[in-house]
Amino acid sequence: MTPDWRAIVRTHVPPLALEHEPEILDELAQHLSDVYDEALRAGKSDEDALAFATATLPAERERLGRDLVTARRSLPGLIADRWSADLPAAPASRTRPLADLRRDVSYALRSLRRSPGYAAVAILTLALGIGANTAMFAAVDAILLRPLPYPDADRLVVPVSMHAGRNIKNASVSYGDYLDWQRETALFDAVALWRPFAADLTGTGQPERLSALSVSPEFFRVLNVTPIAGRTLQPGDHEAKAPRVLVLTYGLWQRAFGGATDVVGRTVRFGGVPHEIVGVLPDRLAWPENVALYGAMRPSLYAAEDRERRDNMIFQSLARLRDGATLESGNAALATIASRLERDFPESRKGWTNHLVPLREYMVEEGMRIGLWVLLAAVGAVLLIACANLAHLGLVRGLARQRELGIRIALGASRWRLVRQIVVEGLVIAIVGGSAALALGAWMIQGLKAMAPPDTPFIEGLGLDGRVLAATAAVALLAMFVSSLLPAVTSTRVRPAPAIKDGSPSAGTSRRVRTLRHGLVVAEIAGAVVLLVGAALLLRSFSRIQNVHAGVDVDRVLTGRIALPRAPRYEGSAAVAQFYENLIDRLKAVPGVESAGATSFVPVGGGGFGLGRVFLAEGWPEPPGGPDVGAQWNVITSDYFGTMGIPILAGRPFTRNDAEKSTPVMIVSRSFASQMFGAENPLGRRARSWRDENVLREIVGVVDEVRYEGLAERERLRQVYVPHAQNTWSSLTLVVRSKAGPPRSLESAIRRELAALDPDLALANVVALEDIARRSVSGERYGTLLISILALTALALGAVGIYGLISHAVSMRRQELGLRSALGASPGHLYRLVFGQGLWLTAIGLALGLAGALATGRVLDQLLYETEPYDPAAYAVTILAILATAALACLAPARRAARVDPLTALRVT
Amino acid sequence: MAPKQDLKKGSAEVMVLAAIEDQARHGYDIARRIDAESGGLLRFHVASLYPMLYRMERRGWILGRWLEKTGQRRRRVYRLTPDGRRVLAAQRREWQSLVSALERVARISTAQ
Repeated sequence: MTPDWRAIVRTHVPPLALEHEPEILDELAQHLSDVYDEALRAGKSDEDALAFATATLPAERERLGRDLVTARRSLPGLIADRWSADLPAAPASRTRPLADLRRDVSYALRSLRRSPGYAAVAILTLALGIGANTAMFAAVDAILLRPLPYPDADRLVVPVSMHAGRNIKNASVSYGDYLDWQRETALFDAVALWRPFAADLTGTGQPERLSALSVSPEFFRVLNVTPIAGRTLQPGDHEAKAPRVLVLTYGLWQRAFGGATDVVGRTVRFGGVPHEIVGVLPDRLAWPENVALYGAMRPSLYAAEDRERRDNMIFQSLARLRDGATLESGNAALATIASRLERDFPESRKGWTNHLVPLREYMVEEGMRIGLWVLLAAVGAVLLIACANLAHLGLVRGLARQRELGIRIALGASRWRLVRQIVVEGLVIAIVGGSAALALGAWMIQGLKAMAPPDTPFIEGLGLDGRVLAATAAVALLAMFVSSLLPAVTSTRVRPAPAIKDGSPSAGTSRRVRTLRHGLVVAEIAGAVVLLVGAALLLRSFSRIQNVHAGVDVDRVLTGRIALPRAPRYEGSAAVAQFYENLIDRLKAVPGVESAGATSFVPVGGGGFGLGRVFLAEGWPEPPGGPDVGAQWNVITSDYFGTMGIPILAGRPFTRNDAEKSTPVMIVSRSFASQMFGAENPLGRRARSWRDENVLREIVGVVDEVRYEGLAERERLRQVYVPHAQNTWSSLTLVVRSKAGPPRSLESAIRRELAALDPDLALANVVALEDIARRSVSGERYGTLLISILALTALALGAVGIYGLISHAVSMRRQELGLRSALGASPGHLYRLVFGQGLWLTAIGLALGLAGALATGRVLDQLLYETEPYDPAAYAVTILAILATAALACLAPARRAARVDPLTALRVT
Repeated sequence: MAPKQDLKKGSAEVMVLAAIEDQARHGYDIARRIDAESGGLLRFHVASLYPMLYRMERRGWILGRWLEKTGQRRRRVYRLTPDGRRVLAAQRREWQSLVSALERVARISTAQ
């Protein structure tokens, strides 16, 4: 009886999931049947013939299945075959460069398909290295490089005040400065003033708190933007009696007015006062980015002292340099004016000067600028390490291909042709790896955007655009070209005869190539060391930031801003004070609320209205006759310290008895007290903010320091607190502490109580204090996270480099190791031999890397918080990490070496 | 040893192409012919023969057709395509030059 060949084949071939599977099985069955028949004819027994036929099928069924499948369908195979389909027909002629290229590409595809491990590692390395660069370059481009969207944006500058002695930079300017600068017509096309403020927009649905700018008549001329509807501001709008008008940003127009075409001419209530909308700005041309609308500044309505006093630096400026004027000439002119002012107004302008800051620099703070460049340098270093790895891989591959190259040279291929072949192979990898890098980069860009610190300028514009694509493509091609040229040149230096005859990979292991490979691995380790030191320093710095004591208890506190409109019911300070007292009383009665208060400035980076003022103790002479003490002026309600958990060191907190008509009082921070009174008891003493309020206030309490600028603030400001009842501001921030549970749960209750008092009031910027604190260091967290990821990537790439080198060296030395083992070397000895080689190279890389890290430490200094750039712990951690990684990378090859069979020594390769 | 295997693999294609140069053959026939003509030195197994045939078919060098004869099982026979003929010619040239290079370089003699 004939055996069921199909069933037999079926048991030897796994399911193939191919369309033609039944036919393939049929064909194989037929083959077995033929073998069987012939065996019978040759005189074998039934049983023997059956065994003979079955034995033609391989024992490894998986492998047969895989071979059948890949033969039938494999995309790279299909591409390679399509390319080479008609190549043999083409005459091999030097005048057919395109055919040559096709031949090279097809050859490259086939050769890469033959070494999928190499191709995968190379593509992955490239994708990682370039993907990270793509994302980081996109960020640097969007935030630092791409021109601002205004015409001739490089001529936009922000004039600022600075005071070297008090370490004040980028401060605001006085009205008189603005008038002075306007006369410098040779320098500026126009100079404008602006002041940010916030108010509630009502009459468009839910009342909404919006950021606005009050601007001088030149503002839109400086920016040089044309409205897409209506007009911008006219000189007449700035007169005292002119009707109030607003210019909308594109974003607000879309959001609050649904992009209505008839919005110009409509009247809305803004800050409780009717305003007419006169124009809409184009998309993305709003400045600053977070502003929603613009109103007309009316200087004639300001108090005379706001306009005339040279030390009332309460305005921001923006100017456009005249075509041809430079930053240097502008700074020189401003310095001249400033020194004249210093002479004319010594009591208020001593030490002050002015200079110009390019608009972009003004928008992107120094820490972020440095951080971005450091990160870009770090990803660049990762890319270099990746390239070194690729070059190294290529060298090893070149060694393994000596025979192939030898045969090709023997067949008449020129060396140039082989070099080109290898470079083309590199370019194929560059294209595949570059595409993978783009995908990875796009994904990383989403991550960068999602995790970016709030208020990162230009973050919206971050994305994969033409510039980024071009940069990625260029980097990918360059990286692969550079890293394949080296192997190409060295490994094509083949003498064909020994390469073919011997065929062993060691045939071409010249000293030169070995030195090169060692050099590459040393460079990789050195690069990884520099990055690791940087990451370790930033991590230490960040852990210090996280452990600082903010001076307040940030848990369970919700904050939200309120601005009372100009309306008859809030006329006069008594009405305003009464409103806040009523609101706070209602909030305290809410179940779940432990305490509540209000402040003009929120700690740990929450912001508000921070007034820097200078104070004199009672009896002190006025400057320049004597010293003064600078401090920030805070207006608070009586329960502020209790709610925030700020300890009172001496004296008492404010109470409701500190009222409008009672004795003027103040509470000061410890640093203020010691600066003004030294070791003397400040309680009961009196001081005044001499150029502003000028009222002698009795110091009734001393409180501990609070970090107002954020957890990582470098300079602690001295603080003065005054009771709201004695200095009523219409805008304050509520601070409400819950008894237990998340502070967010209080939001609806706060809104309800607010609406019960006045349904037209908006509660803005509702955010938990701990979120504010966390956000205040989000830039540091972000940078630390990114650089740590990069350092680990570098470490991993370095490990791959060491592993590849040592592993290859071990397989080169199999015979020698076998001989040593045969002659009695213990496994421990062989371990030491392999580790010795790996760790020796690591040590050189480590030494070079540490030197590099020491040299670059100064750059990082500006990003570090209470951490020395030469912090020994960071260096120690790095050294340990590198040594451990190197040891780990050597472990597997060393084990292989120790297990080499002594008989290997006897076999001839 | 590695080089020998590689050489075999590279030469297998040209041998298969040559085996069906004059006449269409089925898989077993091709294997038997190569076996016989090489004096038993080169023996194809199912595991290497059929994947190679399919690959060459996909490249358009050979074409497989099912053929049914009365009283017999159907068989798949392969014949050379015009492309395959060109490939065979080109590979013959390449092998010739390699062999002559080997003769010169490694002093491997083929004829005597």
